Parts: sequence; C-alpha cells; structure tokens
Amino acid sequence: MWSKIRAIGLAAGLFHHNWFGQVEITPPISGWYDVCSGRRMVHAQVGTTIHPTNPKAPARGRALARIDALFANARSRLPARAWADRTIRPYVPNHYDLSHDRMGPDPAKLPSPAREQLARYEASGFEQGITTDQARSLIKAFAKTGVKPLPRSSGGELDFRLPIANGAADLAGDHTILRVFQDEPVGGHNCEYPVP
Amino acid sequence: MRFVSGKRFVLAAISLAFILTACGSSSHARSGTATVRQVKATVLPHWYTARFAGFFPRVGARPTLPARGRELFELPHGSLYADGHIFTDRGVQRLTP
Repeated sequence: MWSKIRAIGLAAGLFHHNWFGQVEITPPISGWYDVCSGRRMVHAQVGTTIHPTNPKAPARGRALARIDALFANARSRLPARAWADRTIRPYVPNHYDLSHDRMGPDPAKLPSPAREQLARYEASGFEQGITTDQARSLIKAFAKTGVKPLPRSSGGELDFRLPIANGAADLAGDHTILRVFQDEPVGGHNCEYPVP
Repeated sequence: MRFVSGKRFVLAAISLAFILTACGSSSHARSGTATVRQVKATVLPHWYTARFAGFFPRVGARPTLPARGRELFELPHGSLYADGHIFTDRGVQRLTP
C-alpha cells in the first residue's frame, strides 16, 4: 500500500519534495500527507483557503483524493495474505506526554495527593515524556482530589485546568491547561522514530 | 507539533470508539445494594473509571509499536509503520511487514 500511495503521488508530482498547495475539488480535502520516499519523509499539505497565494493544483488534489480513497478502502480491498492480524485493537502507547500552556501549573495550589504527584514534574513549555505508570498515578491523584478533565478532552488526551503561581497571572488569567496525552511515534526526516 | 495533532485525532477516535463500546456492553443492571457496595469499596469516583477506560491500557499491556521503528506514511485518516501496524479511525490492525 505504501508503494502504491507513493506511486500515485509521484505521478502527480508529489512526494519529490515538500509541497504546499491549494486545491479545489469536491469533496474538499484538507490536511497533511507525509510519505516516506526512499529514506526521507516528504510532506504535502493541501487546503482550500489556508494558503490562498499558492498556485491551484487540481491534478495533485485529485491524486491526494485517490490516496484517501485507496487508504479508506484498504481494509476491504487488501487480500487476506496481506494481513498479519485483522483484529482491530486499541492503541497502547509506550509512554505518555505532559505539556501545558504558556504558564506552568503551581502544584502548591493543589490539595494532596495531586500536589505531590504534580510536583514531580518540571513546569516546561515543552512536551515531556512520562511512563504509563507515572501518568496513571498523576491522573489517579487528580481524581482523588476532584480535579476533573475538561469536557473537551478526548480519548487520547486529557486536559486539566489548574491554577498557576501567584504573581504569574497575566492577561490569560490565573489558570493554565495541563495536557496529558498518549504519545505515538512520528517518523522524523529519515522516516525513523524516535527522532534522534 | 502538527504531526502529533493529526495522529492524535486518529488515536482519539480509536480510544473513543473503545470507550463507547465498553460503556455500551453492560449486559445487566446492577442491583441498588450492589451498586452501593461497589461505590463504598472504591476510593476513586465512577467518572474516573468510565472516563479513562480507553485512555489507559490494562496494566502490563504490551505497547503497540516497538520503541524504535520506521513510519512509512501518515495521512489525514491513518498511518502505516514498517513493522506492519496500520492505524485507522477504527483502531489498530497489522499488515504483513
């Protein structure tokens, strides 16, 4: 499937180098397509309005729509021998990540045991990896102290609204959002993960 | 960051599907007494277990992907890894590598 998707893209002039384009097709498509070409991950980003200055490329848009269709129908079209295991299973991450908005949360403002659990992690604007057990302990501590995830949280990410330190409040207010999410490997420029 | 967001959407859909499946699979209603006993027996609120049914794997579950590997493509609705794992909106399956 990878080689077929690559072939469709290459025939339309995609996946030779990174490309940003505007397409006008029905149904409209919008998004990123990252395909490992040789030993290099090549990106194609398309949108109908996000890059209005880019040239329109209907042929490339049609190629990407074909790729979408090929992928969507893969389950029914691939022969039995192509499958090692057709059972649909949930994703099991090998670790989780923590990140927060501009200001970090202040553990001291949380009741125990959430205070002690959160204090174990540095307030950093960057994502930091934590083990599954650490994520379990943190969320369990939040649950015990009544800190609930925000309704916008999804299956793979939980968002918590937490207080920030006194004096750190700014126009954004006196709270920040802490995100705990399942991490998943993303191929780097050479298609390999973890990215060196 | 963009990559993470794109795949996160797919994984969120996967997890949500499994949460919904788990929530809808109860075959019988518990008696009031049993429910009270269960609530008393646990420290964590009910929303914790219901909410995180798909967020955390069962204890000891093996991670889906190896620690090191190669991603072959990532599309708006799924991705494929060199070891054959294919992620779609429905869940994770495995192709012959």
